Amino acid sequence: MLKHWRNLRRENDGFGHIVVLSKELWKNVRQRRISLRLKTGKRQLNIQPAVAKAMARQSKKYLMIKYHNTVSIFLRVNGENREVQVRPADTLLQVLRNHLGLTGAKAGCENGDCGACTVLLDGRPVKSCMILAVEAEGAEITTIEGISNTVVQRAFLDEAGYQCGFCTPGFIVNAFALLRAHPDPDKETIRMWLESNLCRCTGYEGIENAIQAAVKVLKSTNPKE
Amino acid sequence: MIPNNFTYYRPENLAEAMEAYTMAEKNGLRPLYLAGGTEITTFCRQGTIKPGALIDIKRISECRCFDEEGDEIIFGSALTLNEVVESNSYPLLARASRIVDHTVRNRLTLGGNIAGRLPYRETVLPFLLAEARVHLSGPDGERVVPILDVFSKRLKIEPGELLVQLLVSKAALSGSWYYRREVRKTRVDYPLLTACFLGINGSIRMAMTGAYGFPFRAREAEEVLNDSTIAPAEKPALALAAIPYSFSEDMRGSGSYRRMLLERSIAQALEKFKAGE
Repeated sequence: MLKHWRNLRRENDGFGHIVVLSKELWKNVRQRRISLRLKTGKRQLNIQPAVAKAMARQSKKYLMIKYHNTVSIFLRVNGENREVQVRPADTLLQVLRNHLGLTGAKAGCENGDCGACTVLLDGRPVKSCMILAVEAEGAEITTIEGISNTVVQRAFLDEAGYQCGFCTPGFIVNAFALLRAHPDPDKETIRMWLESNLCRCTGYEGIENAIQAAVKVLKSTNPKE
Repeated sequence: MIPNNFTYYRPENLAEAMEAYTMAEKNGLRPLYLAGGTEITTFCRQGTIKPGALIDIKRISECRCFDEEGDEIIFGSALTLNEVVESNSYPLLARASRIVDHTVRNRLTLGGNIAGRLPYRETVLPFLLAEARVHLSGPDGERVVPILDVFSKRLKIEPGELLVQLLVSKAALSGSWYYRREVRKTRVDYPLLTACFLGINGSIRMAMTGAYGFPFRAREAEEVLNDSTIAPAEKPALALAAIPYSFSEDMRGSGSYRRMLLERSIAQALEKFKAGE
């Protein structure tokens, strides 16, 4: 059915996506013959980005994502696809905490300074208070909940790399990414990575000890972590 | 939380980006191009800016480009600063890109830093010194112009124009360089002074930010530094005297302190270039 791309027309699916549909495809969508999401009783269609891209390629036309008001998007969080209703102005931190119940990332300064909201985006640590949730669509998001029972987390427990604990999730996520990128980091590398996070209790010594302990464990066991 | 609503566009190519801009502008949405978003999300949260539309340029291949073409290296404007640091293809740029903290550098982009509203815009300094060219794309078409023609204290481009790429001649990459960044306390802080020097074709080029409240290429100072009739010991003070601006004064540092730091940096740079001869 994707071969029939004559009489292309634009439709707004009600979620803010602009999609390009042929009459043939639109007919099939209406009759629910194809595996696109359709809300019964309403002319609302939610096309996942991968499908939308395939459609765009088929049509040899461009297809630009446009979101306004509240939109439904899919985020891949800790290995699971999660559908959320968001405003384009919602930050990733807000959506993780308030929509998905993942409260490990903390709202500290919400200004990109403290690092308490650090999550991994495609394996790289980022501050989720400075990212729009819609920007994270299509990326692999890992929160502190997704890296529980890892060597790094155990090292923070064993070495008491925390005081009040508010900043700890951010530190653990960042340290996790650090040890993935640099399994045997020198002091300068550790310092460079961890200056992204602040501990207002100033428990930096315990945090540094925890990272050194994690490095030792990783060296001795050599797991892929 | 960002209180005001806006429309979010995610174009896949430049034509779509321009169409999104034109469409949003026509609807009175005051669109902004969004790259890393570190400044835009912060300013939106503070209510300093209230854009009606954001056009995310991170999926545009030209903006993510990092390539060689002829005798130039091309840096896409949506490359993150960590990507620039890790590539190390232009050592002075890699050094100048080590600003803010490591995690923020995973989002902060070259284009965002250069076109942003914060006064420092440190990553533009290596491009000013290398006399790079910039590829701009706007609703009325594309153009490639020398950065010195469109950057005077800040990037001055037409409404709707997007900084797509920065093109640096390979000849500039091999020049010897000196970099100095002075901060009040931690290195994550905004700079009191960032000074970059590039030795190329037997002469020294100098650009700085922080000291005077905006980034600029100090051509008047360069004339002093490259004047062989002036004694080396006198050059730092004379170079400062030649710069026609006033030093910044703020809670981070006084004007006289910044003056001292800059004079010392110039002296250190001259020492380095002299040793390298």
